[in-house]
Amino acid sequence: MSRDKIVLKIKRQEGPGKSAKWEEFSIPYKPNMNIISCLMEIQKNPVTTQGQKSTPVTWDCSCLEHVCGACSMVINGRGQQSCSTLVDKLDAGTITLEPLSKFPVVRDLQVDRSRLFNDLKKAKAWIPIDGTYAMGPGPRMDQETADLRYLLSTCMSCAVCMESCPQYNEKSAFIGPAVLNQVRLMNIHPTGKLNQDERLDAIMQDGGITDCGNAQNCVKACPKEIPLTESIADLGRQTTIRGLFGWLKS
Amino acid sequence: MSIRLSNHFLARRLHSLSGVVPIGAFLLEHFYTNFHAVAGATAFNDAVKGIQGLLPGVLLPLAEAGLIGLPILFHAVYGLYIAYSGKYGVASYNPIRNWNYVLQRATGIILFIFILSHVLTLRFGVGDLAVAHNPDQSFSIVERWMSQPLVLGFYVLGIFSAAYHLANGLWTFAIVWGITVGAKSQRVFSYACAGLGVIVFAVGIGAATAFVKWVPWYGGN
Ligand code: HEM
Ligand code: HEM
Repeated sequence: MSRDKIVLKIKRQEGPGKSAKWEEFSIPYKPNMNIISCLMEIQKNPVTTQGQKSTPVTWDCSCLEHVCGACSMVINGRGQQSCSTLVDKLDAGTITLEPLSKFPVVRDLQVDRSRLFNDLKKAKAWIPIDGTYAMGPGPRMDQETADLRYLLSTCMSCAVCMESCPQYNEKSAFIGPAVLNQVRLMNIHPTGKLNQDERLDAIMQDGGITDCGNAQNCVKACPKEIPLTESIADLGRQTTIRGLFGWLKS
Repeated sequence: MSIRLSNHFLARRLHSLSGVVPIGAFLLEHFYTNFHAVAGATAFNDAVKGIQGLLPGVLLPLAEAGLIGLPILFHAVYGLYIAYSGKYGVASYNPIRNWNYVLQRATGIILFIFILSHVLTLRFGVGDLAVAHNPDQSFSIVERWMSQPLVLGFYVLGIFSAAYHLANGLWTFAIVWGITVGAKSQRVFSYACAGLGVIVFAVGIGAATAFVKWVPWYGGN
């Protein structure tokens, strides 16, 4: 969309627990800008459109190429990466920026995503292979599994699926689509299978697989187009089998 | 590795299961019984008596309480809690599914109120005679209720809610238990569930309106 200047309405918050307020900034238009370059432009001279002196806006980012997931924020009402959201692709009006709404704000657009990392730990979303001697090459993986795992592994924990999920909130302990997807990713790996029951048991606790409400926003929101709802349904099947027959192993 | 099922998993899966059996199965049976009203008052009264004669003595109320009452109570109370623990008004990325999510909870809340008042009036006789104790007058008791436009409207809402909640619930049930895993199987099954919902709704409305004088299939003549 063509425009002569870019107007950004940004939700500001000085620190954890402080009240939030909106501020509007206007910067000169240049072609090919992304949201991060807009924020950097504001940093140079943080004065609002009303002419009031303000502070530079704080945000998180790292890789700047849509791989690390750190720079997620709510852009025009939707969770997206600020690095890969291009101004020229947005509608011509004011651009609104808010922090992700499901995590506590650190400052401005920066949030504390500890909950996500704790849940990855809870779900044992890794394959334990560390030891004191080499165990030789792992088992072979069939091509179909390898292809599926590649897609599932593109998850960058950006938390956009959690932003879109009505079940993921402060009233519930739900661990969210991304973490469940990691469990599937590990469980279909030939070596990861060795610990699949531990992971299934972890997601059969409070906040686990059962807390999905099937609103299926996540699969549409995911910037990597990961089939999150299929991962969840697949874990539904794995936990059904484990729940029905697991106790017979004792 | 053996397993100790967590209470949370057990409770959620029981909630899911109870929606289909016994509650969903009861609803189908219930609408089938009620649809006898289309064939006339005697046919309806006989159908009600048939159900009441299934078990002798105290076994019937015991079975009602244990096989229908308790599961509904559990499903309803836990369902209200589940509905409370959602956060509505997230930006809608997947409008159709997201609306279904919201409607599943909204119809649950409506059903809670509907079933409570429905059972108090027809089963326990608040405001009129109880069908349970006057099976010979079943048709005329229900007819007196349905002749009030507000009550009839309330039933239309209740029947819609039940049909919708069961149809969408079956669809999510198949995902929860890992039956429909792929996106395509989920889509195909959604058509089947929608079809079932329409049929259940039509049968329910047909039955409810059979108690109303101005429809051609009125059962009271
Ligand atoms: C077509 C409209 C409906 C009619 C004419 C109708 C009629 C009746 C009657 C006559 C009874 C008393 C049965 C007895 O005491 O022997 C009854 C009980 C009951 N109805 Fe309905 N009903 C309708 C819709 C619904 C709906 C939509 C639900 C919700 C799922 C529902 C749930 C129940 C329950 C749970 C009982 C108590 C069952 C029992 O005592 O064993 N009904 N209904
Ligand atoms: C009485 C008030 C009721 C309330 C408050 C209620 C509430 C709910 C809620 C909130 C869910 C979603 C659960 C989840 O996503 O985890 C649900 C699912 C379901 N309900 Fe109900 N419900 C009620 C009555 C009924 C009735 C009468 C039926 C049968 C017709 C029924 C059948 C189902 C089914 C089949 C599911 C799907 C289970 C699943 O997705 O795993 N419910 N209910």
